[in-house]
Amino acid sequence: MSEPQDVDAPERVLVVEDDPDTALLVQRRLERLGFSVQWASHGQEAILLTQNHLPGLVVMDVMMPRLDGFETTRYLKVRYPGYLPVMILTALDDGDSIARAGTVGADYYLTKPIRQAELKEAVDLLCALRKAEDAGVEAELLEARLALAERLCDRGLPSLARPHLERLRALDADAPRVVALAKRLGG
Amino acid sequence: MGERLHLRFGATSHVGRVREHNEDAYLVLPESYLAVVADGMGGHNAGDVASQLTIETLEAEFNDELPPPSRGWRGLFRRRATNGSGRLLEAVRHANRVVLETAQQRPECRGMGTTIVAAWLEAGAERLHVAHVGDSRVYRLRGGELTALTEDHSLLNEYLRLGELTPAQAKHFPYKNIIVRALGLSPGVQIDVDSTVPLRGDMYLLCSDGLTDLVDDAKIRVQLATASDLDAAADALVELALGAGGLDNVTAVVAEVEA
Repeated sequence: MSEPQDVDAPERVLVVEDDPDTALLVQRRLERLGFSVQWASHGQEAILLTQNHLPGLVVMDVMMPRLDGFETTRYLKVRYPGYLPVMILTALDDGDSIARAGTVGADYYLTKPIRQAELKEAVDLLCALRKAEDAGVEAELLEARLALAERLCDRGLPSLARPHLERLRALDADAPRVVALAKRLGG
Repeated sequence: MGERLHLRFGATSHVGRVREHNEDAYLVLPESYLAVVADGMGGHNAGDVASQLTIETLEAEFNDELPPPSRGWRGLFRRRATNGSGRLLEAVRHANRVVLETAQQRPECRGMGTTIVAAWLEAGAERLHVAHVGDSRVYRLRGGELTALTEDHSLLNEYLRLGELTPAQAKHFPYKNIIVRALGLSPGVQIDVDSTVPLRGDMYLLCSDGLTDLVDDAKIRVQLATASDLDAAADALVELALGAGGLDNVTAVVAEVEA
C-alpha cells in the first residue's frame, strides 16, 4: 500500500522581493508560521515561477526592477482567475499606492517594517478564504470572506474590501454582517 | 512518391554592442534536420547556463538513435511518443527539467531560465514541427511572403488575448519585453508545439528577440528573399540588428527546404 502524498507538506508561499535581506526576513517569519517559501527577486521571475504551478499565497513587494509589484499582481489576477491570494508588503503607505493595490486586485496590504502579529493575521485570513474557495462550502465561504472584508475595513483599506461586497451579497445579501459591511463601505 | 525533403542551414550569434556576455545559444543538427535557438536569462550570468543546457539536452535527444519498437500496444505507444511532434515536445520538456534541476542544485543559477524555439523536419513524414516558449520566434518565407509561425509569450500579448488591454493601449504599454513563459523555472511550463507541411523552397528563420526588437518584419523578409546563401542571410540579419544599436544578444538560424 502506498503512503498518502503530501499530507503534512507545508503550504507554499511565493515571496516576491528584490532585496535579499528583506526576502530572507519574510521567509523566516513565514517558515515560523509553518509555510514553505519560494523566492522571486522581481515580478518577471514571479510570473515565470507561477506558470501553471501556483503557490497557496503570494507576498508581493511593490518597488522592484523590470516589473513592479502592482503590474505583477494585475497579471497574476487576470491570468489565474481562481482565487490566488496576493498580499502587498511594501514601504509605500500613501493613499495612491493603496488605491492602486485595490485596482489591480490585491487582497491585502501591509506596510514595512514587518510585524509578526500583523503578518500572521493577514496570512490566516487569506488562507482561510482560499481554503473555503477550494472546498466550495457556501457557509465557510461567507464566513471567510466576511472576516477578511471586515478586517480590511478595520484597517482602513475600504478599496480592498469593496470587491468582496458583491460576492458576499450573492451568497447572502440579508445576513446582518453583510448589511453592516455594506453600510461601512457606503453602499 | 513525393520528393523527399531535407534542410540546409546557416547560422550566427553575436553578443551585441551593449551586453558583455552572450546568453543566446543555438544548435544546428544537419543530419537530423533540427535547429534550435535559446535566449537565456537570469542573474549572475546564469542565463547562458540555461540556454546552453537546453541546447545540449536537445542535441542529446536528437543525436540518439530511436529505441527499437517493442511489441504489443506498449510498443505502439512508445513509437508514437518518440515520433512526430510528441518527440520534439518530450525533448523540450526534458530540457525544462534539466534547467530546473540545475537551478535547484546550484545556488548561483537560482532564477535562471531560457526561451526556446525549435524546428524539426521529420524525415519521411514531411512535417515540420515547431516548439516554442518565450519571445524567440520562428518565421517562414514562402513565395516571397513572410509569416510568423510563433506568437510571443509576452505580458503584452497575454493582456491583449485576455482583453485586459486594447490594441490602442498596447502601443503605450511600458512592459513590452516581459515574457510570461520560459523554460527552467516551473515544472508546469506550457510548451506550444505545432506542425506544418513544408514545401521545397521554404525558408525558415529562428531568432532571438535581439533581432526582432530592432529589425522589423519587412527588413527581415527582404534579407531572406535576397540573400546569396544561408550563412550570408544569417550574418546580414545580425548585422542589421547590430547596425540598429545591438542592444541585446542577437542570434539567427536560417533553414531552407530542399528536395
